[in-house]
Amino acid sequence: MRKTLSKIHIWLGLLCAPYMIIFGFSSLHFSHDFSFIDAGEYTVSWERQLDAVADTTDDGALAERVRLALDLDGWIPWWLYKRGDDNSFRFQVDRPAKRYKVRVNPARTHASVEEARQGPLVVLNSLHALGSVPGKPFTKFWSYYTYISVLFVLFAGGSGVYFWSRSRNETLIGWLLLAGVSGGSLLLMIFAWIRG
Amino acid sequence: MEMKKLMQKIHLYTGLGLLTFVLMYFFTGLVLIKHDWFPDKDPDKNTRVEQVRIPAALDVDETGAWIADRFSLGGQPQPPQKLDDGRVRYRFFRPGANLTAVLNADKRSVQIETAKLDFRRTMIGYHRIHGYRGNIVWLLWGLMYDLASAGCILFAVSGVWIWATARERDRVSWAMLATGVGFTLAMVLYLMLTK
Repeated sequence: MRKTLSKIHIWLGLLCAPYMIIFGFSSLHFSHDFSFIDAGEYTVSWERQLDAVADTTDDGALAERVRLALDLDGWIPWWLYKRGDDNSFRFQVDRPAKRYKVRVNPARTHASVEEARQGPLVVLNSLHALGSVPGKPFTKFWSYYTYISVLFVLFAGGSGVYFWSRSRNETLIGWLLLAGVSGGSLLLMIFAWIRG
Repeated sequence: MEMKKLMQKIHLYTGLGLLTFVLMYFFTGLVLIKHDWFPDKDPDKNTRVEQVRIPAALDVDETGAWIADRFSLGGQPQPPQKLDDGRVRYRFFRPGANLTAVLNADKRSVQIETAKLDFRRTMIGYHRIHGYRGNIVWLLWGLMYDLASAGCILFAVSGVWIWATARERDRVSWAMLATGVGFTLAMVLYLMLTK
């Protein structure tokens, strides 16, 4: 039993170690907003003629048609749709590593695109909780990896305490940490919920 | 102390000490990404209007702290928002409740809305709350958040180190490590190098 648990702990731990490092690093970034993360970002601009993009007053449908016509992958934030007085149309397509600001002319025949290419640390950060990106089928496997990692951490917590409880090493400091810090954390969570 | 023993201690201590916080983040993360397993319910909202006399010397942030203290709102203060009509919106968040206080432009009354959140939103609140703002509870929370985040990195690095310096390393372990690292690199390159 112990040997089997130990093997699963090691195997899944090695599989999920990169995700845990990304999770820890990106969480620190959420809290401290490290400026070095943005290093390596640059922008390129390009233009393209569009064939037969049917106009519509529905901003979402128009943005999606133009996205498909330009063959861009990613989500389209609805709150960034903007129509100009001359009926030109602007929107944005977002995905990890790329951000496209698109402007379409009033006749819907021409698009100007400002493409921001993000650096590797921004991309690593976006793997914290990446879902399936529209047009990028390989990204759905990242969400499976995320699920495996989440389940592994829940398992590792239980199995780790089990291994420690079976050994005779570090008993006093182990109990102090488990009861004091982890127990105190639980009380902090309950307190934050009730009175925070 | 030799390196391997140090790594074993780091693995054990970060594991035992940060167990609750790390487990909480991974469980609440699961609630966040599995919307179909944990559906939302609309929050129960309660609104009241209170008359106030704000001390003249207070700035916008201090006024928010004064309102929170005067009406025992609790929660972690969020940055105040000035509305176009001169009102100021203060938000205070804690897992389980979202409190909003809107101070009238004449500063004589404040509308307080308390929204009690369902299980899913409460768990998401636990996952998202961070930073060093508010009273001692939230400062302590910010510290535990940072420790748990750093703990994830230390826990993973020390675990790999312990395995790498062990007497025996089976082929499955190598395959698992290569899969994890290779897949992560492949995903980063896939996102960066494709259109």
